[in-house]
Amino acid sequence: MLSTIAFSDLSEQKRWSTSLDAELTAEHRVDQAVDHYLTHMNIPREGLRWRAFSRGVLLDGKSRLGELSDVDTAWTIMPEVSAG
Amino acid sequence: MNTILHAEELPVLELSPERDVPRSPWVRATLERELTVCVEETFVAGVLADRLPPDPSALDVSFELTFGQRPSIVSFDVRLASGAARFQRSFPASAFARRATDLVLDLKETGRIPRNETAYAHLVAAVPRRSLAFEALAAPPIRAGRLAELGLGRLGTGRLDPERPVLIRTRVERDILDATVRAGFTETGGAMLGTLLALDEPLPGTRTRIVTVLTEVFCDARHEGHFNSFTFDHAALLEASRRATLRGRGESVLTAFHSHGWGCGACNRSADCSLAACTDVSLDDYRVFETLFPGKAAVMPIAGRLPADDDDRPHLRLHAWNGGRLLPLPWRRVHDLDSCNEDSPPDA
Repeated sequence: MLSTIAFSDLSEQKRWSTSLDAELTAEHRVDQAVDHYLTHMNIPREGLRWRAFSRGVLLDGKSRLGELSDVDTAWTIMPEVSAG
Repeated sequence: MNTILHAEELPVLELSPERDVPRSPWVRATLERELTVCVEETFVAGVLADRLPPDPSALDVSFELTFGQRPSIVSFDVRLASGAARFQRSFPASAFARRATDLVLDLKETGRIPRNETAYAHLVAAVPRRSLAFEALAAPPIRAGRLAELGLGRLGTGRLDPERPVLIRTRVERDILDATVRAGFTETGGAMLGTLLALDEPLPGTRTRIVTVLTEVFCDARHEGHFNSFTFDHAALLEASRRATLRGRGESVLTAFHSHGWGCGACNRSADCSLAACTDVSLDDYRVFETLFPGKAAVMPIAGRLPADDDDRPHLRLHAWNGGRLLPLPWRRVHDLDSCNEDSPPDA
């Protein structure tokens, strides 16, 4: 089972990792973990839909962290967003 | 990092029906997140300028407010100190215009401000109710190296900011401008690889050893371009990230370019052209930049027309955080080691 998660944006400039025995636990869901990362890193949500990817694969936002494979330790967090 | 804030007063945002300093504002909004971001921008700029250590054990943070008619603030400086190292950056009150606009829209939506009223935003000083938190304060990844390790050699035309030098590989610029012309009125874009490199010595005309190098661009049909908008595809961005890893040069998807369209072939000289210029940064562009590339070291390249220019080709402009806004940043071309090509025109 996962013991830590390392979060990052696409450019790897906003990095944060946490163990699953403190602010986040195996009972939390992927969407909650994403929300936690955004709050911790002071990243504005801008009303966008945010997604977590591990090894290039989209993680189901409703999955509990305890249900994820133990290789899903490095997440890339991205919004669905358009430039003008 | 142990961070200590020295500030008896901090800026807050007030909305009122009065053009002058409000006596009875409708609403007062604290700017905790925004001020923290100002500190982050100053810290990252200080590290990239080689004037602050990337991983200081302690950092003193202070705000120096410049008043118009007190308590109205026209600008403020964020001043950072770590031991003998010092760095500061100025933020004008106008840097909070987007927050004020969002706030007014929200308050009109909920009826707290009458819809037909004009709301004036004022940045004023107030005693903070609680301190700012700086947990997210961290320098971007910077690695020591040489341009030759990236397959790069001779510098080309262009100009470097002395404290924020950016190099773009000549072929990358050419690929972006070709893609912009091919896409026509439709916007195009793609992931750009790059790295923050700490050289042995500063480049000529600069004061910092740390240079931002943009080395590759991946246009991908999965991104979706339209007239006046461009949507980045997650799978395409992640594939670019994987390719960066496979190249083994320490690159990452440092940013993504998009175009503002290119149409008649005389867009630069036509006063009637309806396309946005490559110098225009829209609110959507801000949103992309603040969310997809939230690090304060990011640069935003935009390709497109450059009004009043007398040539018939699109141009590439860079924008970077400066005082809470995305402002133009000069850049310089760099040639491949094995290249003997001539420069593009010196417009950077």
